[in-house]
Amino acid sequence: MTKTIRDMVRSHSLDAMVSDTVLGIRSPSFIAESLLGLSPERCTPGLYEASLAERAACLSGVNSLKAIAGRDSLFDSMSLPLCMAGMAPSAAALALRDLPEAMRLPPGAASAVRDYTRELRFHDEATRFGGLASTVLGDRFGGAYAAGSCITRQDRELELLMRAEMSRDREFERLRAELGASSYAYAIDDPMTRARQQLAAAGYVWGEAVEEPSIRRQAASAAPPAQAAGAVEGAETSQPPEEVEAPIVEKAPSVAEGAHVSRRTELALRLLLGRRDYEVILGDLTEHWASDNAEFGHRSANLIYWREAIASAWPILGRRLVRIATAAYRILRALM
Amino acid sequence: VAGGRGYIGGFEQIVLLAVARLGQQAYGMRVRQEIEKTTDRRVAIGAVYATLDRMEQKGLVKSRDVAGGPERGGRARRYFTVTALGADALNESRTTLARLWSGLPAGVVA
Repeated sequence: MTKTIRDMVRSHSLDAMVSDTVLGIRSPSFIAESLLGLSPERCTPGLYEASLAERAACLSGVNSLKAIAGRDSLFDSMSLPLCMAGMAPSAAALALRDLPEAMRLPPGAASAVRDYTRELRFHDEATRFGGLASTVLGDRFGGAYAAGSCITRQDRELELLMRAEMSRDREFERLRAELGASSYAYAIDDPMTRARQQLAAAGYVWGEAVEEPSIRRQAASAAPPAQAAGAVEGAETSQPPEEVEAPIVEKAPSVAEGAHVSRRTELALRLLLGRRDYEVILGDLTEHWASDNAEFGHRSANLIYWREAIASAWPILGRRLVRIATAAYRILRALM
Repeated sequence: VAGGRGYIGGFEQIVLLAVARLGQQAYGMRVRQEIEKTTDRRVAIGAVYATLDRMEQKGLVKSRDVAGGPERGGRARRYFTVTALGADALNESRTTLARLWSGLPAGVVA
């Protein structure tokens, strides 16, 4: 199967993948998984030649395909799992198949989530900024998060993909700080850029349906190529940057500033856990957030934090229920 | 606990071993990291705590809360140590598994 998809992509028949997706022959998650299955050894040099980050780029491509193909219907089916799972879009592709049925949002919350994702111009923001929208949604709909029955797939590979995205974001932040600039160009010779260039060479515009024309412009008109290309040591200068994107303007927060995440989670977990447990668990989550914040940045740390909080709530709640049931049984047995 | 008093489950065994490996440094997040590092398996911190809580009820581990630093927002850390009963359970589990494996080829079991 992976061979078939690879061949389709090689022959630039991306529209065939779109058709299959729309017709339901191939689900987006299936295609995403198939792309994940392409190992470096099995790929000859080409679009899917295989660093990990390139495969992440492939998944983003799948998301773009869904945006192109679905607009509304696939948009809805994707946005909900995404915000529920607190995942980056590429990761959400994998969760698509399972999550919609697993979620039991109250009708009002479900529609509010949909509306809010539209406000955020979900396609654009979430796809390009790798999970920003889902993080914001997580903050706003913390209650819905906790109430939903959310089962996420936490594959090791998925984690690695997320980290690849985080690493890319971090590099851009570093570059922006170094330049002291309000904008910067994609001059970094990273796998994502190479994948984009290869797509462009094939006559296909990367993320055409998900990027706002107003913030996509030629490098020459926005930043001097010399400045952009020379910004990173060892950057490839033979090829001009393909496009310039608006900066991700967000200052690095301190641990204290990240406390808002903790407060919201505290509220949700306080409802689920006993006092004895939540103090300790929140402490661990906070500690984890601080180290992730230092390593990956604020957005990514928030993303991981929420995912951890959701994943942690259910086992502990289950344990608490067992304890209550056991106590009730003992009381009943003593009374009888 | 093996030996007629019930068995420790697979995940319980993993958590118990992680606590034993960490010695005095075994608190929730560290235990989780140890499990992920050694098993290459993703584990939610809540699952670790739920398991530790269950094992504490069984007397396999004991815990003590220690005041946390600013990196935790002042929240306490809960350190766990393996009790004598827990050590017995691990040893017994190991022996049982060794008995079950003995006589089987080292490669893939069909």
